[in-house]
Amino acid sequence: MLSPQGHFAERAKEAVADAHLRAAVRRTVDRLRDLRRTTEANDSAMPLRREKARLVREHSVAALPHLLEQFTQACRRNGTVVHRAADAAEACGIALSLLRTHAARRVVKSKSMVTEEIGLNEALERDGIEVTETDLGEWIIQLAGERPSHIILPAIHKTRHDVQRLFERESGTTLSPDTARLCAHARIRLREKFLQADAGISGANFAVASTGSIALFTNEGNGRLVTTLPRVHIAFMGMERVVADLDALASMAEVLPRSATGQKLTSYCTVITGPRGPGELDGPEHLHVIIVDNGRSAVWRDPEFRDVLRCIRCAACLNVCPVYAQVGGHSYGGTYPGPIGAVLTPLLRPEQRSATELAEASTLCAACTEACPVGIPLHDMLVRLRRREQALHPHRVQRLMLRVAMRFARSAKAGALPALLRAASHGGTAIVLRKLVPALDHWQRTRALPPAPAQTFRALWPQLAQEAMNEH
Amino acid sequence: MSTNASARAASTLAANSFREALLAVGGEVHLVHTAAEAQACLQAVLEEAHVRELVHHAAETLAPLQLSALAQQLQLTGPHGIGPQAHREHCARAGAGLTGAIAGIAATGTLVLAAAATTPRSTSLLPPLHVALLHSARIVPDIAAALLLFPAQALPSQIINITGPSRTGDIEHDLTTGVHGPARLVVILLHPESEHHP
Repeated sequence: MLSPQGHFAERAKEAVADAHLRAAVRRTVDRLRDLRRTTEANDSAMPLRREKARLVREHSVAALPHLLEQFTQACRRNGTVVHRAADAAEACGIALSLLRTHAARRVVKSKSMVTEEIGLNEALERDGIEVTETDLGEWIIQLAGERPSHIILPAIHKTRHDVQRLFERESGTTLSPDTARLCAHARIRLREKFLQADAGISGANFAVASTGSIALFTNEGNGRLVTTLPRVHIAFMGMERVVADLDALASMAEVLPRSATGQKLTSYCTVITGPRGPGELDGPEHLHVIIVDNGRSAVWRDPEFRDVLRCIRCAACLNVCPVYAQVGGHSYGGTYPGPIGAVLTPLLRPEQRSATELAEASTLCAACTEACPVGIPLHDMLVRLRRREQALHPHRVQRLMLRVAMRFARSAKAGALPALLRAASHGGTAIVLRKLVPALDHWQRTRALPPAPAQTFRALWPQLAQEAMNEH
Repeated sequence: MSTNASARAASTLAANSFREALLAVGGEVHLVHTAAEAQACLQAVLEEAHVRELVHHAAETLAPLQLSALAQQLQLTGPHGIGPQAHREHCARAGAGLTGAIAGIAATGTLVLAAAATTPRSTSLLPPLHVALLHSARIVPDIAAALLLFPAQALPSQIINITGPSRTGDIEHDLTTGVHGPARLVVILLHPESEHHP
């Protein structure tokens, strides 16, 4: 579900104490970040691709109401039935009633963030419908009864031994912890599910207004199976997924895989326009698209935050975020982790105080803004969210402490601070100091104090200022 | 350079670029120059993989491969005279699926297919091996050009862009192929020596 339960600090504390989780998260973000950087560094056209993608998304968001209307009209022409859902409950309700109408009891799903957001699986299961996630990572998470920890790789926190145990429990057979064997097992088990399924549920990476198409990018091929074998296909899309035409879609195809995994294109990219055509031997007989609002039109009406709707869910911002790298996806509590989650979750759920605090989960280093292929000023938005929160709920103690700190910094006594810090970061002294000051000990349990430089900035400043003068 | 010679040079460049890009993502490419070579190549690939049943498209793009000649060695199932249920069963048990690509994308090594009555989706999806025939004259530079090949007002029910075999890194980043779609993708790239373009 979108709404976080409890507090960020509590969830983060738990995550930070889990050494295995931290190592897994670190490995994942470093790997995805390096894959993206390598691809971008070897591609002289990348700045142009990003610029075009930014313009396409800027236009898509600006023209959103018009494009959605155009998309709906085009769908009507090609036999796709379009539904609009104002909130999570309505979206789940529409899906339920469609499944009832088509007497569908078994559903296979391909990866979709928006269905996570609206809690679709829980809603369907409450009605006795069997739902199987078919993206390998999502299936692992489903078997474990957990939530995704990364947008692109949802099960990064599970080892092959965890997966082996989950698969053994599900199938009642004995398996080896070899990755290839585990994948082969998943292929056989999930292939059965695909062949038995009455309906397939997918997300939509993009929707094309001029043609009434939806586009899916996958690597495993489960997105293709979901939209090929069952007789009914229901696609969910956040209302901001729409782009104007096929050329705009091509621009998206140029940046989404590159930004997500460093791939030039995913193994499969399908453009779906209507249900199975006359004489076709496969593909769904019925195609429904459910367009989900769930707080998005309010964001659209807010000029300070409208641009966040450009997001294409590539997760590049997660992979460069120093906070995400330490605390992992579950700490964010909701569907969308990392910088994009810290912005999006409080905007989609403004009534939730526990969502607002996500804006504090940032160092404001702006690495996210730099990584974003569609130019969302994420760190600016985090500052705006904090400002808004301060205006609504001023934190008196914080303000007082800031005032005291400012006065101290300006006073002569501040000169003693560097010596103290140097001592604190020095091996033996640090241990004594940590024992003497319990708060420091607690703080250092999950953080290493960086070594203090030999010379302070104050001491360096006269020389630096002189050098700067000489250069002019 | 004559027009034909420069067209030939351009399609050689495109074929090389396509080949390199597809090899980089784990696809296999066999460059052939004549229809006879294409046919021999297909036969060798199917034999080597011990394929006993082949499901195939009925596209004009497959015309250079005299498929009927294969009928002595293996079971052939095309999309004609077959119902949806039988089609699905054949695809689910076939050792390989054969398709004729509408286009290829040079920049990414992508095959472009489209669903239609004669070219069902499952052929390139359910079998563990996907073999595709691609004519070098059909290679376009990028995905924008590939999407332009279709009339925007009458798109096929599904345009399928395939770039390499089915892959996943969901378990400990260990790259594994064939988790849902074909574990192997073999492209027979027909690049005629002469200027005779079809």
